[in-house]
Amino acid sequence: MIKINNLIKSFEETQVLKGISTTFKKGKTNLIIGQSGSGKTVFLKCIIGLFEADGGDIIFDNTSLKSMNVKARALLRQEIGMVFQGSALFDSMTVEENIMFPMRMFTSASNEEIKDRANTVIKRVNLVNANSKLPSEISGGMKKRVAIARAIVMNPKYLFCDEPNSGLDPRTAILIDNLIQEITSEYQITTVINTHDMNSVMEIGEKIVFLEHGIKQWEGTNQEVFKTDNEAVTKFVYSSEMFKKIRKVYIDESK
Amino acid sequence: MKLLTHIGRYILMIQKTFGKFTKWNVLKNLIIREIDDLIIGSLGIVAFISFFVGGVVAIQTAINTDNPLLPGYLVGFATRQSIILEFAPTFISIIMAGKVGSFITSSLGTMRVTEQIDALEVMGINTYNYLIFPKIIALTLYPFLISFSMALGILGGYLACVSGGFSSHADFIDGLQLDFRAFHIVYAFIKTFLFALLLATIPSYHGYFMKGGALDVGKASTTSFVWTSVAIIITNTIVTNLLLT
Repeated sequence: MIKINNLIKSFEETQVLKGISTTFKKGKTNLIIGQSGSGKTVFLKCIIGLFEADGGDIIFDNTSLKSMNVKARALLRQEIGMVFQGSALFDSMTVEENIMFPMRMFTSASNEEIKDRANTVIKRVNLVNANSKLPSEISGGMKKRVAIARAIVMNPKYLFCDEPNSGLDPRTAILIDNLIQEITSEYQITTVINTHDMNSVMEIGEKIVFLEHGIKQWEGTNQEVFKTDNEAVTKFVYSSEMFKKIRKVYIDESK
Repeated sequence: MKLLTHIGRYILMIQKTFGKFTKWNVLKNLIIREIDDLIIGSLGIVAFISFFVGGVVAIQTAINTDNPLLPGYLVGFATRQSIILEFAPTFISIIMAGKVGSFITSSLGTMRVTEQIDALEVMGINTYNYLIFPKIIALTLYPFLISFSMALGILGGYLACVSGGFSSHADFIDGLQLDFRAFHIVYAFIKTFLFALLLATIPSYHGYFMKGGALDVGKASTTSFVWTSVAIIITNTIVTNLLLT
């Protein structure tokens, strides 16, 4: 579980996060949604420690980030898996080497043990015949699978995904969403996904946090998002005619 | 003020580079790869430039000292001094600021743009040590590259002069051996070593702290080349004043 208390972050004069508090539960896919510039990426980067927050606190399973020294923070980072928007695979390494990389860096396991573990996660994310290929030789969907495999190879407690299905076709995007949800439930990971994909919101949003101008405007589940009267959320989620119709059908059916 | 910020951040970068060390098993492979990319990969261009520029230096000297009152060994002497004292250490380093420096800046800049550096940081890796330290170690072999350049420059000068009839074999060899001071070699290698550190760290700084997209990678490479060249020239002036005057 990750608990965020009154998180504040500014860049020079601009306050990007204005006191956000929320809780992300273990074994659930937690989504952060909001328009471009709403502070989603900064929020995610503060949680994973790429940005230092100016105020507030982040509590990882009852341990405050503030109370952690450098060594404790380094250990915490080994419990974090991250899937970047552009996958961020190392171009000079093959798919298999990319996946084995965290284990090579942080464990004293033998080469065979590392390969075994890598092959297990490769199978888990359904990557076929890609082990010896370079990132430049595989498709966008495969890159996301490799990024997910690399993120989970160390059995992380926390998984963060920054727009994991951006740039993917709708079918592959749904497959990647489902894969993340399955892995979250199977390994009991606390997963936080940064997205503005409405399919993801409807499909896997077990908890949704809606940000607007650095403020948490609303939070709830994908079922509650249909019923909410919050104007900012409905404007954002139901901006397309198709989603307006879906919402109407859902409300009519539930009456 | 901005320059001071850059200098401060550059010093902090070097400090962090020697901070938490990457696992040796991983680091040694990175060092070998950097030696291959930065040193072995530069042998061809250094050989080509040194050989032909050595030849041109010798021919120019011979043409401009074509006076019966000047001794015949002068061409060999001037070629040796030009190549050992300035051409090989300084001018090859400026060429390397373009070749090796641009490579370092663009590779780190691309890693920054594609979030590969962020990915390493999230894993808890000291990215300064992982990315920059191997380049510094690889470039400690840079003086070998410069020795190679000195040897080929003098060989080029000899072949151009003797085969072109500008000087005799005996005169050129006499000139090469005349008034030889071992300290000149020491001076050349002291500055070569300092240039190697600049070649590894300034382009790394520009690549590591790059902001923006693909276009900015190109801009960062150009800026890196300019600042590395400036730093080499200034260091050259200071070292020459300190050691030769």
